[in-house]
Amino acid sequence: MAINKLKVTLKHLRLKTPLMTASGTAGHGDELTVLDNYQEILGALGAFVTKGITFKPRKGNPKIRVIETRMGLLNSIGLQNSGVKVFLKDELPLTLQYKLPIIVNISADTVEEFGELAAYLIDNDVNSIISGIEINVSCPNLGEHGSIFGTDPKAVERVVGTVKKRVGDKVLVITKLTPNVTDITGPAKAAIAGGTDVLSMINTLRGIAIDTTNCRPFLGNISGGLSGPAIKPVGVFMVYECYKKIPECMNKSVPIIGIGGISTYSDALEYIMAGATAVGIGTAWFVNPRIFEEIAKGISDYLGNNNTTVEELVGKAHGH
Amino acid sequence: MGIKGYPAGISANILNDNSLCLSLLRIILSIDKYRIIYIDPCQFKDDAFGLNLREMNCLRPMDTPEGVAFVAQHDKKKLLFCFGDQGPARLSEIANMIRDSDKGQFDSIGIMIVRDEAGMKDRRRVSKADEWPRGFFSCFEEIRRKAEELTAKGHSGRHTCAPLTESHMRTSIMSVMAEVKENIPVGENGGHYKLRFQTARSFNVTPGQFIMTDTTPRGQDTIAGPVALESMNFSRIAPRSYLKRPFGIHRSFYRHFDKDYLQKLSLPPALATVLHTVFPDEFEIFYKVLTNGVGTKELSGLKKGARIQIVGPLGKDRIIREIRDEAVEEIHVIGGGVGMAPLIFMVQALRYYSYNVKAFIGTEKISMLKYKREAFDGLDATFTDEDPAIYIDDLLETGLKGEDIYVSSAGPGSSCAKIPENNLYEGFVSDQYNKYLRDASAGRKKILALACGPTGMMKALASITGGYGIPLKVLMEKRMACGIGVCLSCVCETKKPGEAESKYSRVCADGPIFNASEIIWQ
Repeated sequence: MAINKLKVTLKHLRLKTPLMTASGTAGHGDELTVLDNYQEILGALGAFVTKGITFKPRKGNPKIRVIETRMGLLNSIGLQNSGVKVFLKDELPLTLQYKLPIIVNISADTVEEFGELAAYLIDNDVNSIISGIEINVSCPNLGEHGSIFGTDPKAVERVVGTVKKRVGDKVLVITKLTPNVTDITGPAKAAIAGGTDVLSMINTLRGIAIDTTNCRPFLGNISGGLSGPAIKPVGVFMVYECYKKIPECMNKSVPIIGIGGISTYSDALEYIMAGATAVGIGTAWFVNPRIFEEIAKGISDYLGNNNTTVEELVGKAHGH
Repeated sequence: MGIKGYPAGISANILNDNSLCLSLLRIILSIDKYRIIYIDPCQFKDDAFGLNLREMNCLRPMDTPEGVAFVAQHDKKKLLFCFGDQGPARLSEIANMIRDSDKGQFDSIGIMIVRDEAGMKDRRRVSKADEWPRGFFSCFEEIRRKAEELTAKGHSGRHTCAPLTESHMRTSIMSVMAEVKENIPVGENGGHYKLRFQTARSFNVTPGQFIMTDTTPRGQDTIAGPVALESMNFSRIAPRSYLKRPFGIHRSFYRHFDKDYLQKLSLPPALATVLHTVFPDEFEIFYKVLTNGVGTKELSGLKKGARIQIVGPLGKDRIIREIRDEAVEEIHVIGGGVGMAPLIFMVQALRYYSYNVKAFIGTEKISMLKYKREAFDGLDATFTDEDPAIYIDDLLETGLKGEDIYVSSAGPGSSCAKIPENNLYEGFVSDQYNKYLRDASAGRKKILALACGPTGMMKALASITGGYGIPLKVLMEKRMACGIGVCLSCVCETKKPGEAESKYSRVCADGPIFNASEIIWQ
C-alpha cells in the first residue's frame, strides 16, 4: 500500500491531508453539500473548521459587509451565528456526514465566557463530533474585545488557560492569533504558556476601504478584516517567526496551522516550509469552488516529483 | 439478461412495441407508486405482454388531450405519456394542449417515448425544447434496461419506494468552464453589455437563480479538466479583481442533453432514471459597467472565445413552483435598468406555463435598450426603429403582445414602434405602474408582482402594491463573496410574520427572491 505523503498530525490528531477550511468560510453545518464536487472537497480536506460561534445568537454587523480590495477581501460580518444551543442541536450534527475531524471556532466577550462556551460545547457534544476547539482571540469585528484579547499576551494566556482547564485533554485546543501586533511571538508564547495544543495564524488584518463616490467607508462597520492573496506574505512571515523563535514550534510539540491568502498549492507549500504543519484556506475558495482539490493535487504532484512528504517539508525554509 | 417472454429487438409492429413498452414501464412506475389510470386502446395491442385492455380504463379523462397514449397517477399528480411516432406537428399540438389544460394537476410533465436513442436525439433537433412541457423524453431501450434491472432485483412492481425528500429536489451547484460567444455593447453610450457564454456542461438554472462568473479569462490550458493547473492561478493574479461576480440570467438557450440532473428533480425516482431532458448550456447576462466597478469593467473587456469559470445555479429555485401553487392569474414584472434582465428569464418561464404577463420596463431612454447586431464602438450610434431592442424584443419573443409592455424613461426619448404610444411614460417606472393600477380595474384578478431594480424603486413598489393588496416579490441584489451561503456577506434585513426580531438573511442562499413585505427597507 502506498504511503500517504500528504498526512500530517497535529498533536494526537491525524489528518489525511494538511488542508483545512479557514473558519468563517465554509459554514456551520452541511453547507458544502450544495456543491456538486463536495465529495472531492471532503477528499481533499484533512479537517473541517466551522464558522465562529458564540454563546448567545449574534445578528451580525449591518451591511455593507464585504468589499473587494486589490487581491483581497475586506469583511466585517460580525460573527453572525445562531448561538451555541442551536449550533449543537441543528448544525454540528450535520457535519458528521463529512467524516472529517471537526474543529469548532469559538468567540466570546470575556475570559469566563470563553471557558463556559468551551465547556458547554464539550459537555453537550453527545456524539463526540468535536475533535478540536479553535479559540478566536483575534476577531477584528467584535468591537474592542476581540482585538484586546488578541494583542495582549496576558489576556491571551488567561483565555487559553481557562479554556484548557475546562476542556482538559478531551479535544485539541487551538489558538488563532491576530496579525495586528508588533511581534507575533508575544501572544504565541502566551498561548503556549496558557496550554494551547496548536497555534493557528493569521486572522485577518485590519483595514478600511473608502468609497470615493460618496466619501464614506464602504463597510457598515467602517473597518474590517483583510483576507486574500494580499496578506499571504504577512502570514508566511509570522509562521516563520514563530517557528524560528519558539522552541515548542520548532520541535513541533506545538504545531502551527498556517492561514492567510493561500490560493495555489505553492502558497500552501510556502506556509509549510515556513513552519506550518497544516494550512487553512478560505477566501480563495470563494473564487474557485474547486480550490481544495486543486491544491491537494498540486501538493501531491510536488511531493511525488521531489520524493518527499509534507511532514518532511515542515520548516524546510529554515535550512535544517 | 432479459425478461422472460419479452422479445429482444424492436419489431415493425408499432402496437406490439407500445404494449411491450407499457408493460415494462408499469414495473418502473409501480416502484414509484404510480398507477396507470387511462390508456388509449388505439395505440396498444390487446392481450400482448400481459396487457388486458378490457381491464383497463380506456375512457379518456376530460383533461387529457387526444393522442396521449396513457396516463399514470399517484395521489393528485398525473404523468402523461405519448409515443413519438406521431410526427413533430402532431406532437407539438399535443404538447400545446397539455400546456393549456394544465391547472397543476399534472406533474408538470409530459413524457414522450421514442424508439431508440438515436431517435431521441433527432427528436430533440427538430423540436424546440419548450414545446413539450418540461421536455422529458425516454426511449424503449432504456426503459427495457431499467425494467430488467428491477426484475433481476426481484421487483415485481409491488414494492414501494421511499418518499421524495428535499435532497431529491435540490440542485447541486457546479463550477464549469465556459466560452464567451458574444460580448456586445447595448445602448447609446456603450455602458451596457450583453454577454453570452456557452458552458462545457449544461445545467439547470431556473428563474430567480443566478450564476457567479470570472471577470477575466483563464489560461487556454485549463479549459476542460476538473483539476486546473498552476498557470490558471497565475492568470488570476494579474487582474485587479479577485472574486467572481454574481449576475442573474437574462436569457438561456438549449443545446444538449443532460441526465445527471434528473435524479435530483422532484420526479418519480425510478422513472427519472430512464428520462431525459435538455438543460440550457448557453446563457446571456446583461450588465452595466459601473464607473468605479472593477469587475464589470474587466467583464466588458472579455473577447469572443475567452474562457471563464462559471459557478451555478445559485439561489432558491422555488418561485415558479410557488406561483403555480398559489393559483396566480396574472403576473406583473417591473424592472428598473439592468434589474429587468433576470425578469426576462422569469417571463420566459411564465409564458411557457401560459400565464398572462404585463411587463414594466424602467430605463433612462428607449435608445439605451437598442443595439446593433454587429459590434460597434458605441460612441456615435444612432438607432432606428428597426434596430433590435433588448427586453422589448425578448418579451415579444415569448409571445407577449406590444400592448402588454410598458416603458418609462427618465426624459423625453425616442419612440418605439413595437409598443403602443400609450404605454410610454416619462418618469419613474414605479409611478407608471401606480398609474396603471389606478386606471386598470385590476381588482378581481389574483395578481402577483415581481420586481428587480434600485432599492428606491423596490421600496416605492412595496408601498404601491401594498395599497392595492397585491403581493410583491422582489429579487434582491447585493455584494457577494461566495454565492453559496457560507460567507454571510450578502445579507438583507428581513422579518417574517410571527418572528419576534428581524434578522439578516442571505440574499444568495435564502433568496434572492423575497416577499417585499418581509424586507426591512433602509
